[in-house]
Amino acid sequence: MTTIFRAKESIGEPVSDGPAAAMADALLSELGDLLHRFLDTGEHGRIDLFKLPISPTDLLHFKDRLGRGEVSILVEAAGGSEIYETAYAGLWWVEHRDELGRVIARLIEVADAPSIVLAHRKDLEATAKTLIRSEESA
Amino acid sequence: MPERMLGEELALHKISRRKLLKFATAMAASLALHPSMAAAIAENLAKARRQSVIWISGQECTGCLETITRSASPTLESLIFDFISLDYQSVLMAAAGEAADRTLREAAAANKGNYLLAIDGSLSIKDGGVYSMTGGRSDLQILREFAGNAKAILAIGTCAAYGGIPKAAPNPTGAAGIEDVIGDKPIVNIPGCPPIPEVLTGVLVNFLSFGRLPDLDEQKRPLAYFGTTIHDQCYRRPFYDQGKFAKSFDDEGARQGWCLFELGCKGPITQNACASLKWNGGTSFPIQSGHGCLGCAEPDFWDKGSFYTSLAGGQGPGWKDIAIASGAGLAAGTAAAIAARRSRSAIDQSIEHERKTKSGTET
Repeated sequence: MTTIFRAKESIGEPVSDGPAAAMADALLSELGDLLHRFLDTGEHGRIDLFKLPISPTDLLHFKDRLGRGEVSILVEAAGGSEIYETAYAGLWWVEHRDELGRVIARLIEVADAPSIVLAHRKDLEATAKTLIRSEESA
Repeated sequence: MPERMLGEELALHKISRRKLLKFATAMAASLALHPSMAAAIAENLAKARRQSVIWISGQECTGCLETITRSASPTLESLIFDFISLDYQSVLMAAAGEAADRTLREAAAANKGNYLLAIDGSLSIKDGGVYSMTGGRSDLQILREFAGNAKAILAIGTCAAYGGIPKAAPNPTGAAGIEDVIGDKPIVNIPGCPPIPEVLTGVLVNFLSFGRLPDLDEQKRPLAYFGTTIHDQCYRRPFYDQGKFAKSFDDEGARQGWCLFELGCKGPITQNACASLKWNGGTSFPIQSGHGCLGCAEPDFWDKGSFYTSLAGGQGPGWKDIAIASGAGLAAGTAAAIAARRSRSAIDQSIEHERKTKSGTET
């Protein structure tokens, strides 16, 4: 809990605690900006964590700073995706894996809900057609 | 060319838009595009039509093809094979001899002006190219015949891009890169020995999604993957900035994961995406496994002296130049995380600022 409280207090306010903390501070500051933009304009924000030169230790540190919130989502689409809301409402940890369990994308989304969770209109249309067909054949 | 759009084809194969979006999200990250571009990539891919690709080979070891095909073991990345029609690849196809030749000509004729011509391996240009021939014709003749009607050429691997190992001294076959012989076609160089498979996927997705080749640097390499050095993206960079170096492969520094510069790492002069995309599905890359970068994506890497001689030892830029480029200590090291999402010019400006600040305090 100490870590979570510290993270909340330090969004946009750098704290000095070595390279891992400095990395986390910079990312949290950017997330703060994206959150403000989302509140002002509704524009979804995203930070790609996959191509950052971040060591596994620093990544764990950052993950720890973000904490874990109330919602967890498991998406099974060509491999599992682990998605959960961090301790900060509207900041979502999104980790996509392929069928072999390898991470292919890792990002933070700033949104009311991550985009991949929402059903696509084309898929909805396909479902509607299927349901109509099954009604007709019944 | 099939009339059906990819979105319809994917639906037939029970590939949902959610899967497509997931693939596009991975591709946006791979292409260093803003993550918000994922939705646009997914939408555009769904509207695109399958792209004809004709793949020919020069003097090569099949390592490039091996790495590309291995990347397509049942993973999400294999979706790319739903987006292209690989109309000719002599190693993979069942046909051989005259039947294979006929397939090549028919594919080129059917997609005249629209196919992408991929080539791995260098070209032998000495003595009329007699050192590498297929069906009685030199690789050079074959390339010239099929380059003419290609939309663009993808030079896959260091050999195709720069001549590679066949070009190593004394270069008995007169090996050369594609660009040395073809000057009137758009060329994308994807160097690496072998190249990172995700880079080819990224180039194809960029072409299909946006209707054009990705932005290239002066060596015709996709900027998204070759815009920075391995050193810029290396997770061991903070140790370099702190002056902490492994002196041998089994000393305390090596065990602590310190910088491998003094063991000959060519990361500071090698532009590639190994440190970010990594290999084997993002598992690791040479430096993470404890070995310095060989610089295999750079021209003439085989002839630049020992892989284990430090760049400070007189090859490549001297220590002083690299030290300047490394910026001012830990601050630059931690900032590297942010810099990775900026353009190279932004990094250069930042380094220049740090350098001026540093020289100002020293003088």
